[in-house]
Amino acid sequence: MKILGLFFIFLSSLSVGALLSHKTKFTLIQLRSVIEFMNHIKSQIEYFNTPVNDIYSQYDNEVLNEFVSNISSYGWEEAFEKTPKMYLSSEAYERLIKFGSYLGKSNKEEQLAHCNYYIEMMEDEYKKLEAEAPQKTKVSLALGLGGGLMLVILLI
Amino acid sequence: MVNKKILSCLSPQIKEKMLRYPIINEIRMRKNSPLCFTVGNNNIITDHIVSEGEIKFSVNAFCKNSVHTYFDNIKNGYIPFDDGCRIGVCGKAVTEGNKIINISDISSLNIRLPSEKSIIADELIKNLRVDSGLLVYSQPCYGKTTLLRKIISFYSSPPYNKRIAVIDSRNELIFGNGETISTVDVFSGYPKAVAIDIAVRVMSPEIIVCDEIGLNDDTNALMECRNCGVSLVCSAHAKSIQELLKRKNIRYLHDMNVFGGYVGISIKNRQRSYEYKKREDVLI
Repeated sequence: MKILGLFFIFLSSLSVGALLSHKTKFTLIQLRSVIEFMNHIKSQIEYFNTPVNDIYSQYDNEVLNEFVSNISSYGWEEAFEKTPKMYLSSEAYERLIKFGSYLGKSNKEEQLAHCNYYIEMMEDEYKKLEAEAPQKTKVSLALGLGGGLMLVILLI
Repeated sequence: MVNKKILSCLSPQIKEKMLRYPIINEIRMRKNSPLCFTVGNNNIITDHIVSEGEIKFSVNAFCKNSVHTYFDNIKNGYIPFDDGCRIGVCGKAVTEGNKIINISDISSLNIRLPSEKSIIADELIKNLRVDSGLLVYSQPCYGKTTLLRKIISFYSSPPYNKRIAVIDSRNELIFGNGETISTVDVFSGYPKAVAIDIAVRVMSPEIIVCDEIGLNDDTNALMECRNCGVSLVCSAHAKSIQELLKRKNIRYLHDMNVFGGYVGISIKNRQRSYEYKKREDVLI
């Protein structure tokens, strides 16, 4: 019974590590999708002058569907609150809110400059995160494994 | 009854004032001035003072929160809206040479509500000789666009089933009123001259319908079009046929036999009347 309990504790700790590592990977996927969404907005403005609400309602992306639908209904700031499964950094959130709040507020040239500025910032963040990701994944897994083993040893 | 989309672009105070009038033709909002309605030929001044915030809210809402989409339209003095409604915009122009590059400080809006249910008898349309070209004229807001809509609807339906190209530069002529328009091609938002040229080349229309003609470019395109054997149904602003023919470009089109007839619209005792004159009967 004790061995089974220890095994369960070890497994739980390992799962937490795996979950954290998965979150890092998913954040990367989400951030890439957000950048693609921003690029889509930019091209819709650049080539079609599409109204922003039409851009949101016509956009289809598996990763961001819920988020984009919430933007359409509640605006950017509230969309983050209404979408629980968003794993972006607080800086990324702030940038996206600023990005979203100025959309549709000026002429095409200004809108494009605005899009370019924020897309560039998000790209930088993505590159940084991408570079850190392998290390973060390893650390999360190692911590899960190490922490689990440590607990098991302590309990023995 | 004003449609819900338009109402959603107005402040609650303005909506409340509108309730008193079952039919409104125009809503006029001027910054820090009383809200006005045009009902028929009467201008009604209300006691509500329009604030800057109300104008900003309405501009944003009519632009669907997308100024970039309507920026060029705003520079040309209007915002096209759904269902044939057009919003006239007035403010301070920022210019570079003779070119308007921006409109700052929008101070007035004129919301023109479309006449959805036009009571124009089919008999009247039948008597208009569209095949030889037709020019509809009247003062602003007298129902030229409504008549053009009726002509489109009439000739695109059985038994005529004419191929019609509609040059709808300001997105006013065609709106989703449930009517069948299966033989109609709509050039929406194109510059008129470009659209007329494309329509003749690629859509082989029997009739081209075009609202508010009068510029040099339009004149050349209409001449080209007439020489290709396409009937033209157009509209222009003028109080009388004499006034109409004082306009250089219209006079040229008249001299070149582009229009076989003219329809003047006037309003007497709140009733529209339509006067059709053949080209030969026009005395100058």
